[in-house]
Amino acid sequence: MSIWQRINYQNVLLAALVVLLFAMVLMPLGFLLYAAFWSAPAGDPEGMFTFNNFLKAFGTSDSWAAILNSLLLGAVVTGITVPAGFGFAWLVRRTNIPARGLLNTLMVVPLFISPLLLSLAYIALANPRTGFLNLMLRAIFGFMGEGPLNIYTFGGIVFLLASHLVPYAYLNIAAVLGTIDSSYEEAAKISGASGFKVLRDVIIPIVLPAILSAALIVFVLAAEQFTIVTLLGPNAHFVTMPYLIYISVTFYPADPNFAAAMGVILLVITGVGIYFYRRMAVQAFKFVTITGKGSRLQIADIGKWRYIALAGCLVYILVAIVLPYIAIVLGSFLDYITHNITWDKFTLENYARMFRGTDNILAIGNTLLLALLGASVGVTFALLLAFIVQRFKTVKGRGILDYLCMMPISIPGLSLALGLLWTYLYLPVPIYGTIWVLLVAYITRFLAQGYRISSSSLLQIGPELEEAARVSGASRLRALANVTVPILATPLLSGWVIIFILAALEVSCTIILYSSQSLTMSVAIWNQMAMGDTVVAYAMSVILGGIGIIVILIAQKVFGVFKYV
Amino acid sequence: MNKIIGAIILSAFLLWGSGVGPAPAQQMDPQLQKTMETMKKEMPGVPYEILKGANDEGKLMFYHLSLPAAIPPLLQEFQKRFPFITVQEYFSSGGPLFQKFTSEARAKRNAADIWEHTDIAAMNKVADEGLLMKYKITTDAQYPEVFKRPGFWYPMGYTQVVVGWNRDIVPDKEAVKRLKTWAGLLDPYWKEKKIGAIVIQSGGSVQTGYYMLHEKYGIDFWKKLAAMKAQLYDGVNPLADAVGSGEVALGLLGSEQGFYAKYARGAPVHWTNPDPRIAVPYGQAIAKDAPHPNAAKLFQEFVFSEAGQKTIASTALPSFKVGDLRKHIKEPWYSSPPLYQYDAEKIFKSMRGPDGLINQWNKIFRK
Repeated sequence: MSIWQRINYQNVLLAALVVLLFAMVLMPLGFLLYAAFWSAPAGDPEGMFTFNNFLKAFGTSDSWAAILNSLLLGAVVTGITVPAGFGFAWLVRRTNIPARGLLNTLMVVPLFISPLLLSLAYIALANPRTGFLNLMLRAIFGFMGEGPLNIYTFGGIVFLLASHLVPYAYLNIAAVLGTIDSSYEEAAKISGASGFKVLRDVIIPIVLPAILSAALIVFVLAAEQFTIVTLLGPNAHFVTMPYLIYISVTFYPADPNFAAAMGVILLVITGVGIYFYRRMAVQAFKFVTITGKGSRLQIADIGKWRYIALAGCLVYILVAIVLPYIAIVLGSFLDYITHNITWDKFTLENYARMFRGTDNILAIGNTLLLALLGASVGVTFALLLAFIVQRFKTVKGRGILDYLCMMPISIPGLSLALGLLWTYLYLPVPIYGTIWVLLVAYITRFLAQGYRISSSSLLQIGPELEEAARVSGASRLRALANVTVPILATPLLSGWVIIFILAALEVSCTIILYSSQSLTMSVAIWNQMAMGDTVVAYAMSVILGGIGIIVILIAQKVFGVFKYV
Repeated sequence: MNKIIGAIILSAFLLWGSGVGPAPAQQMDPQLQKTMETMKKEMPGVPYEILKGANDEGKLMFYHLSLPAAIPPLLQEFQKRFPFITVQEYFSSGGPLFQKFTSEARAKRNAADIWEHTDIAAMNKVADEGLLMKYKITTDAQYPEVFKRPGFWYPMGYTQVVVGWNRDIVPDKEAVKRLKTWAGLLDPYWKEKKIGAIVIQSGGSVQTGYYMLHEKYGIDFWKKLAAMKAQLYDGVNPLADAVGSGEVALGLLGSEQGFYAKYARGAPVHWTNPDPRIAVPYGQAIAKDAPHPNAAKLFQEFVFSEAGQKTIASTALPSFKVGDLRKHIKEPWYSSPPLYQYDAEKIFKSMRGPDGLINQWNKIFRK
């Protein structure tokens, strides 16, 4: 046998993936760490080694307040979002609530309203003086003065974050709820357990990896979110780490090294969370529910409670989708934002301006291309990495891969953007300034989301299915492709939709890495805001939202992404 | 002997005629002849070599800040005269634009030919670091010393730090009466009105405004201003939106561009310059390793020519060369008192450090 015949190409491929992961994640992190311990940005001749960035992070009461506020915000939002996501997932996937199919699709739509637009919509709706909802409530109930609603509060920030992040929890948990073998539940019921006991003692422990995975992702996304806190925080007297990072990068005088130090601190905090998550995942065999035996899904009859449950879902859809979309669509047809709406202020000019010139058409094309490729390559890459971590039990150091895959999510977008900027400026790879550097940035940035869904789904599948295929002569990758992937189709497609949406809305990395030829819709919207053309930004957001809804509908209709048994 | 001397003299003439003497004038490309004629009238002193080089390069990358009113007409006028140069734009707000430009320049991977910024101290630092090309425009002497770095960057126009109001809530005559000077911000009339202010870190122009108030009226003025419980915004555009929608009645220390954008769309927004008037230049420079250096030089020469300055001054920004040609300056609610004289480097240094003005502002305004 020649040397070429002895080489195991699958192992070579998998090893290459690991090397690629190290390069994609560790290089930007390396630049961030360097910047965190340096007094000036990369390449600045006046730079020197220093601890000052960390001294500034830990040495002032403002920084400590920001760190504690970030943890508080993450914890409170997670405490609301994950139970809500679980509740909606259980109702839609495992009960006889009316309109399950429609609710299943609508639950994803809030993801397509970017936090920036959500904030602007609710500032228009609930600012204490001229918010539409306040004007209506004052007119109906006769309140005097300002309010009663005030979006510029800690509660307002939590409300917006929670309503935006519920779909993450929903998708993570619903994907797994739809694949549980209901024989466990039947066995419990036969033994006399009530519906509540079955939920508490059978279902929740089985979906615990998905719940914890959702909690981890939601906590990190809430703690690192900067748009909502930037717009509402100053008046709510609530400052977080991402806000300090945002002003360090975008305000003047800029301090990217301090932003890098704060990014490193957030990374350490999340690293602790990942450690505890992995300890729980060691008990993986307890969560296996998809084995070689056939299974079916049981739908619980909740009687008259289903109408109350439906009302609850509709309230969420009202506040997370209907009200903000009404505000954004209304704003897109106005000359300027005003509470004094009259017919003469309506115009189609905002949409006309969108399509003057070719820039925005280019932006739409780039957005679709990057979102499609980013989601497809990202999910495939994440699945293969999860496969290596879960199935190659004899390979030492697999745990490091787990941390590496999660790291990008724990670094605030703007900090990661700086790391990526310096990496691809100095790396002798000719992708800087092209659309491909954005693709690499998106795959890096959203790796954790795809990885977590793949990983927690793989945990549900017993290895004997793949072992049976291997015994029949299939290679590892073939067993993965022909046996495991079809079983995981639903959660993988859910992951695809999430990454598609995130890539389409991504702004914090794109704003620094894009060039005139790789303009995206999210950056075009951001630029319109920066130029003072808020209403044109609204028009663009309506278009972007429309694209997202079409994608979701196609994903549902053609691929049955949210189909349940 | 005479025949020998005559042969030598004749040979010298012949040698001189063949090219040993002074070089003959460069042959002008006939297609550029008309352009050169226009340049002689509008941009006298700009050599043909720059035009030829720009023609050969055919492209220009312009990194700029938010000026939707000025940039399209300016680029249109430039391309009318130089249709063989394709101008590509990269737009961003100040901070990310600064990071991108300086990072690219330090890594010697310049994509930008022209870079724009509004902070004098930052532009000078970048010039000192050697990231800007040394090129003295032919109209250098027509721009004030304090608002340029000769040979490096020049002010394509300037924005003003103003006070804006919603005219449906605050009648023009009340605003104009009270805002003749900055001290009018503490007029008791405003106590019943909701006011908005921009956070100090948002940019160099608002920092210049807060510095001026601090220098002129002292720290107590800041404290009295903070006692009015202004709603805070992270930039001029959210503030202008809030004034336009009526969320706040008065907007402090906003860049004129933000209010102008709303005014142009019909929002009930007016603004004025209390005395002294604060001008912040939009500096423009050529990148040291510009990929298209001749196109960049040509663009600079056009922008700072009379034709270029008139285009800017009539659409968006007052010009140090041709003055302010915008229509609204004739309105009764608008004023143009004398300019505030300031040292940008001093303002930059005063902001930083534990006792700097930024930290003081945060302690006073964010309580």
